[in-house]
Amino acid sequence: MRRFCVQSGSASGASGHRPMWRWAAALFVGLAGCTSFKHLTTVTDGIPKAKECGKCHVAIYQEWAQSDHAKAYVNPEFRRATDDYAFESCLSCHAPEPSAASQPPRLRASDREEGITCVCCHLDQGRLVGPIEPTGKVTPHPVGVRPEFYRGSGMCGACHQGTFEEWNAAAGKKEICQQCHMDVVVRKVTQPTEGISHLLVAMEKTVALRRHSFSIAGDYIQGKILTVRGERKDSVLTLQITNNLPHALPTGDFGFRVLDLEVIAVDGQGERTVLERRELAPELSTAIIARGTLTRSLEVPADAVKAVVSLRRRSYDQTDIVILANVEISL
Amino acid sequence: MARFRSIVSKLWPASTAKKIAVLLVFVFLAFSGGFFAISEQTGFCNSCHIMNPYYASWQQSKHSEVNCLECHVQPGLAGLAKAKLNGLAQAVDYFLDRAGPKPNALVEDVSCLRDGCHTKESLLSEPVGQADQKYKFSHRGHIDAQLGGIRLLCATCHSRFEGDEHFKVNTQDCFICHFLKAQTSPAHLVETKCLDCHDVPAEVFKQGLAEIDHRKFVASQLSCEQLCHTRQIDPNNRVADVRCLDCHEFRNQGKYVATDLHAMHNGKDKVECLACHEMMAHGKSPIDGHHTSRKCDQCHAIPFEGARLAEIDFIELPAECGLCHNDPHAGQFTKACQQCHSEHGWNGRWVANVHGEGAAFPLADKHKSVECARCHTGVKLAQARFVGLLRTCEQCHPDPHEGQMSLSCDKCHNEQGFQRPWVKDHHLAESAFPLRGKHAFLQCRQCHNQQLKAQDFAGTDVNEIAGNCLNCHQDLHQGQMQASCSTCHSETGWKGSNLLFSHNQQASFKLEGPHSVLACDACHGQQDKRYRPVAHECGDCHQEQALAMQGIAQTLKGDSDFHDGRLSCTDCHNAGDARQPLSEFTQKCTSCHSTRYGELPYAWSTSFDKNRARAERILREIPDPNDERRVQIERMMGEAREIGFHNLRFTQQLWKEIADVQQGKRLDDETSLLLRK
Repeated sequence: MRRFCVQSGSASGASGHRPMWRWAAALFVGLAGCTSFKHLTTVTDGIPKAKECGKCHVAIYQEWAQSDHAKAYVNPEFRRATDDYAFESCLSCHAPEPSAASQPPRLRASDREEGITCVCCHLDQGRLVGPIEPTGKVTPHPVGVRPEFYRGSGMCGACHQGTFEEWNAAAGKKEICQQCHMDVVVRKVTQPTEGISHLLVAMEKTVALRRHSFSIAGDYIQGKILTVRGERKDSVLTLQITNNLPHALPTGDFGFRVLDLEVIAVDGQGERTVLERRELAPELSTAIIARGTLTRSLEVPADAVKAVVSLRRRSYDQTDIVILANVEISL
Repeated sequence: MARFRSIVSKLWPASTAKKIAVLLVFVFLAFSGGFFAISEQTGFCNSCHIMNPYYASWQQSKHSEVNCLECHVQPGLAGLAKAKLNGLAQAVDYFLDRAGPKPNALVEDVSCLRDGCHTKESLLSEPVGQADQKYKFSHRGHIDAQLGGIRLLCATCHSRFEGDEHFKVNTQDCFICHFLKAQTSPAHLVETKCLDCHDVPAEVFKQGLAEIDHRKFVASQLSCEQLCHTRQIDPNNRVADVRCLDCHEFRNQGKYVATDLHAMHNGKDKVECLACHEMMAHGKSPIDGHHTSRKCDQCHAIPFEGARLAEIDFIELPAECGLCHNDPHAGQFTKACQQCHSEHGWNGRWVANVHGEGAAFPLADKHKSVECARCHTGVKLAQARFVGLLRTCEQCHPDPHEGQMSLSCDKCHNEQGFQRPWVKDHHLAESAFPLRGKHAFLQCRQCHNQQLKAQDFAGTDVNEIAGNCLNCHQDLHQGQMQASCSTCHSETGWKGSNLLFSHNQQASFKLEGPHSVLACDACHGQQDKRYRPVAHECGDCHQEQALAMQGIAQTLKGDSDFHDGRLSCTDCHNAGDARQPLSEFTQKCTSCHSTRYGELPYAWSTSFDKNRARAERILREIPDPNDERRVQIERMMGEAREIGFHNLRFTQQLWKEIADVQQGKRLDDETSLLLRK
């Protein structure tokens, strides 16, 4: 029934944005009766799927689909770690009920494969809530604005509890999660797909939005996350690696996130000598705390010319490796 | 006449019997008188042939004009009567064949001193005469003398019958009294000096060059026997007990008082002195020892050339050897010559034993048979070095041990011999290598150069072994041990309670908890024993778990568990605990991971239990024990239980695939998380 209504709705361009067609569209919509966008906000024995949202919020949907939030439930590592989803206490963060309130999330009954989907953060009592005012004239679904909620780390901290505790404990001025992990992008909230959507999208304002890829943007990686300093005295190289983040590095309650530190000494002929290979991880008690500095004193050979310090972060399933620092220190 | 006849007729018995009786009495009286007269004739004494020698000797003696009875019968009527009765008794004895072979007669003093014979006064006033033409004698001192209660009678000395003499004085008897030592004191009964009997010889004796004029010695303060004649008296005056049996048939037990004995045998029945007393030699004896062969002038210095021996000063010589003998010992000895030497001779057998027990250098055992010259070397023994010899063994015995020994020779060796039975055991408790336990039964050459025979031991290198066990014992540990053998082993034995090894104290791997009941072979191998190093990492024995953590299992291969290489077994497991509760493991999890991990161990444990129950249900549906599926399922169950938490992926996969096996699915499903071997 729903599908039929959507199809009929899209066929007739019922997502009306133009003011002059407003009344006609609204009449048509009302007469049509079965044409509604209630599926976007209604939670019955199923939740609104992200794909539905993605029909209009194309860019956001594409970003989200690549992100870890989308794979939160279905990824094989999680499946194995919960013994085929047997450990229910783990599942509630990975497939939470749609709730915009910052409280320990509850496991939703259906559509768990969606993972952490749009409605988990944005659906609040039948309204799709966000941090900004609606940028378009017409919205097919009820909207809400709660900037204070969406511009606070607490929203993330509901699930990312350990990291949130670290962030809370960090003193001084600190960025909120969204600042680093949801990069600013200037674009429209929706993107056109076909037909009348182009018209509707053209009527939207372009604003500064945030990416929903939930990863670290490139600019932030080198230079901002870690500061590496090194000083050589006689045959000892003293390294100081400072974590500039407001949370530990690496961070995370579950999974095995490791920061690989590698220091290699290079002599005049280009011969490389490994001075240290060290794993930094919270389980090994070697993670660098928020705003903390790791100091390493290493013996360097006499003929070393420079030292190459690299810090690489491995993802929880060891597949993704991000280079956080690659610094050359002349000796 | 008539009156005489009337008296006689009155007295003459009328009867015949009486007449015969009177006649008999008359005859008897006549006969007695006649016999009486005859018996007083000297010839009558010779009637018995036993008297023949005595009668003959009397006839030739000085007393031949004297009737027997004058001496042998005491004067007076009492004496006569006693003699007559004695005579009758003798006659009876003779006829009854009871007479002894030797007649005995004691002449009492009164007989000698009869009127008209000898008188005491005349005897006492005699000048000193010559007895035996040699010795001075005077009756003075002899008459009425008493020696220790023994009365001296005339007959005591004048008694002996010998040869033609009726009686004479046996001069040997003189010595018995004159040289007799009293029984209770060393003093003599009669203090007799040489000059009491002897005159200083007037003549000059010649002996070689010496002329000895005894008159020169008279002035000396020393007596004759102190000067030269020291052994003139042989005081052998004992009376042997058995002497009594010479005459008596028995000897009464009991002490005999000398006075009683002498009263009997001297006073009553005359017995010769020498019949009881041993003869005492007194006569010419040589002057002491070696010196007799010397010529006098060799000791007594000649005062001037051409002096005669008589002019030599004999008296005042000090008794110093050095006056005549040069000291061949070159003054080595401070003590007097007589300490070692005597006049018997210089020969070794006369030298006092200075190497006896308690001497400065006692010669014991084999040293005793060594000649003096072996140690006291010199051209002549007398000139050898005696004093100041080092009493070290090396002077005579070269060290065959070539200086290896730090102890002195006498710590091990003695004079009995160098052979093994006499060598003191050097391996005592305080030595460098005490032989304790089983070592005590070894022979020397078992350790000290087994090639040489026992008697060549002296030349072996005793220190070549230097207490290194491996010189004799094979190292069964094949050099694996760093500690010395004695850390664990002692000489009492190798095994059992003799082994001093305590695993928990000396090995780097403590045997606690379930490890403490393991047999040694479980870790150290059965055939080829390896003591150390023995792989004692947990994974070396608990291979299934360790390999599973590395991603290697019997039927599966895959990624290693994330804890592999980052954790050691003891980070979670306590080696000393048999079983650790799950709560303890959970604490270990949350000590590294966040506290939110606290539920996971319980969750996994519950999951395994469910899986195991499910697997057992599956097994019940495959009752046939030979079914390949059943075999495989059982194997997978075992593996899953063994691996457990050590690789959760593996365990999970195994439990999951058991259901696949039941359905007969081929186990190379590509959708499986893990690769198959």
